[in-house]
Amino acid sequence: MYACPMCRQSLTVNAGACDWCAVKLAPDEKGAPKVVLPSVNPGKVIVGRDFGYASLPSLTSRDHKWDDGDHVDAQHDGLVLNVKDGMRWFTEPVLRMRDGVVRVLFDVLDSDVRVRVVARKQVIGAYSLWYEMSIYPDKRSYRLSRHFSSKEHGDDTELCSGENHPLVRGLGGFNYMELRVQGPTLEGWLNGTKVCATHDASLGIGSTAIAAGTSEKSNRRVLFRSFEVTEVAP
Amino acid sequence: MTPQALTCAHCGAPLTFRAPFCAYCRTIINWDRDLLITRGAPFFELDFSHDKLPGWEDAPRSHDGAKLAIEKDDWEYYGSFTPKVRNACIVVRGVALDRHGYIGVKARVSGEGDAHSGYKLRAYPHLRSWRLVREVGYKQNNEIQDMVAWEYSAAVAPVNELNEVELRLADSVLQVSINGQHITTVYDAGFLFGGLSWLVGSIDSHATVMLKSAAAYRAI
Repeated sequence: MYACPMCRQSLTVNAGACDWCAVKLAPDEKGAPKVVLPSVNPGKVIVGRDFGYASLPSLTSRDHKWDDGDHVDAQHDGLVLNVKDGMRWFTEPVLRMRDGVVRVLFDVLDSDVRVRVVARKQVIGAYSLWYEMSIYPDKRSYRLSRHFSSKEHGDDTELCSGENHPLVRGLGGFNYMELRVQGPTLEGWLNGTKVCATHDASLGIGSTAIAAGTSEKSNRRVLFRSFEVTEVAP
Repeated sequence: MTPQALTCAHCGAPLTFRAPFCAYCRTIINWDRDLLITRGAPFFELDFSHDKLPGWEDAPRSHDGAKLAIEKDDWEYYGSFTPKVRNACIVVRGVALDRHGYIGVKARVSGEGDAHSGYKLRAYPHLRSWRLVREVGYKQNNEIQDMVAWEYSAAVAPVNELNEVELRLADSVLQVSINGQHITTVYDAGFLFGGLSWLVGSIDSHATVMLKSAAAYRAI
């Protein structure tokens, strides 16, 4: 008796898909079930923001200052977010989608900054749920994960990750990060290369967003260059 | 292979509802009709006159089922069944023994630490009404969003009569059935995988509910 490699529940003999989580399966060379994931291909652009002239999602102007001192400064090549002690979110208004590709191009200019690209973000009352692909450039690490957040608590489940990854460019280098979602298939891409793919059907629809932040008390900077959301293509 | 709802007619791979093409073989899909979900082979069938009630193993049992006294106002008890599933029909049968009791099911319950989310279908015998919500919570604090707000239905049997409450799920298609009558179809892709639970609760005052049985079936 085999267990599903994704949900760990028992499989029927020669199952072509898991009865429980519906992931497609095929036998490996030893006859054990292995997960078969489809590829997720980008299609037509739904939202395109070149931050050389556009504002960050959910902001109406290119320059912006919050009461706590965080601010966005417009530059010719993008928007520099100055953030401290927390995470700043920029959610694409109106757009709520199941399948798509969410891309952000950015440079992290200071240490201890994490940048996220987010899909299927749902807000129910004071609670939020979402998938994200995130990187810490100075640690050269990436992480694809599922999140829950509320004012009093946050929790997450790591779906895949990597440390000291050669595709994560360090401070001052630009990173091009993508989260691709199609049905229960999630892919994380860095600088044009797929670094992870997994199956998770927990969340099926929601908003897209980018976010950046730090746990440090002093200002940290990220230069956002562009943001794009596309359909998936056959 | 066990039949499943929503498979590609061309390659047999799992499909998401109203996906424009199969993610595996890339065949374009024409969705020319709505989906009617029916029960397939059982994942489990439990009779609480002799099977323990998951999560409340010490609940007093008789030949009628497991009796639950909800001794707080506006409170809810629930217990989880073992499997976590994407597509299933979850059914609970029970009797509200007074006007304050209600019966229901939870589906696609998933958790991150102490946080949880899922769908909840409840039938209120005294009001002969039902309600379907999305729920997200942390510990005992919950936020709900109505998918179908309180709605009267003659299909809901009154207090002291048996109610069979069923939620059928296949991808983003959710179908409510009460006492064998198909009540409505709702489309929602919010939560697509997770656990199944029974639930009973009280409104306004303490309540007593007899749970007779529960079952989950493949959705075909």
